[in-house]
Amino acid sequence: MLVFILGLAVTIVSSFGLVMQQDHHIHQTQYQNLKFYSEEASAAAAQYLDLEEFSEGNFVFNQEEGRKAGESIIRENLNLNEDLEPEEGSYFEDTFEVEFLFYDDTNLDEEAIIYSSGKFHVVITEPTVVVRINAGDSRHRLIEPIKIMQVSAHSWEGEQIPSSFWDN
Amino acid sequence: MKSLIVTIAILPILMFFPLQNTVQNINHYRTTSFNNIAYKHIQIARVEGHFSDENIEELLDTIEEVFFIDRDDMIVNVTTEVMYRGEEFVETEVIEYEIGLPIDKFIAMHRFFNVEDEDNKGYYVLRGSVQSERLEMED
Repeated sequence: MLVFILGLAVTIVSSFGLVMQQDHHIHQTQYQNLKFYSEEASAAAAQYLDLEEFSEGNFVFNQEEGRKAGESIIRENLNLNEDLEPEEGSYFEDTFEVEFLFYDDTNLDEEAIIYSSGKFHVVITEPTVVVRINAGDSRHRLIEPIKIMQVSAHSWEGEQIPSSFWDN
Repeated sequence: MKSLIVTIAILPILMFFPLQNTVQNINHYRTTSFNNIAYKHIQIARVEGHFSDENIEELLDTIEEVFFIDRDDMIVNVTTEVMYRGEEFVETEVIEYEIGLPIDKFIAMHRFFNVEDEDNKGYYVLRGSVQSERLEMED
């Protein structure tokens, strides 16, 4: 009887362990995926420039097109609908909150901007798009769900053209 | 004698847990490594505007080398046609990808639990799209 009770106890405890491990693995994989997609979203959003401003020598993002592109990447890759709600088959359960921050010639000056969100810190000196995604709660079954957030930044970096270039 | 019979009966069930733990760890390692490899090649595709033959070849070579699997067992459906970025965002001008890695085993000791070999296999699939960075004037 003792062996049976011990065996049953070990089975129950081990089952909990396996469920926790699997939940943790899925969470880690989804977190890694979210990081990649947030990077892709910031890269996509940073591609669209206001060409009129650009022709006048100003580096200004086309925020409307940038948002469209960034949100589309997030929606397509993370299986979300138009309202950023997870569709069937998605790991996520809560509606996503996505924030785009554009730093360009309209709001950047000589001094660097330090953007911080949680453990993410970036020093912004060049035109940059920051994407911040709040994906809601994780799907841990045995422990308190963890808030899933990712932030990424994509910068345009270039060397200043030396004045001698124009002499040629 | 009774204890011995119970011990023998319960032993296979208890063996399942460390074995399943190992299977889960292996699968997790494989999917995480696969993500890293696939992301690198998706980013190359973003810069080039499509999945070039060299990029696909390198992706398959790396996965063969890292996971010891045959390239025929993989799923690779990607945009090979060149996509461009324009002045405005066009939802159809994106590079799509579907890359799948075979997973040989989900459950350890599956025959003990009467799970067929075929039902214990599957694919881990990365599916989505990225925006092309390529400008038309680059050609």
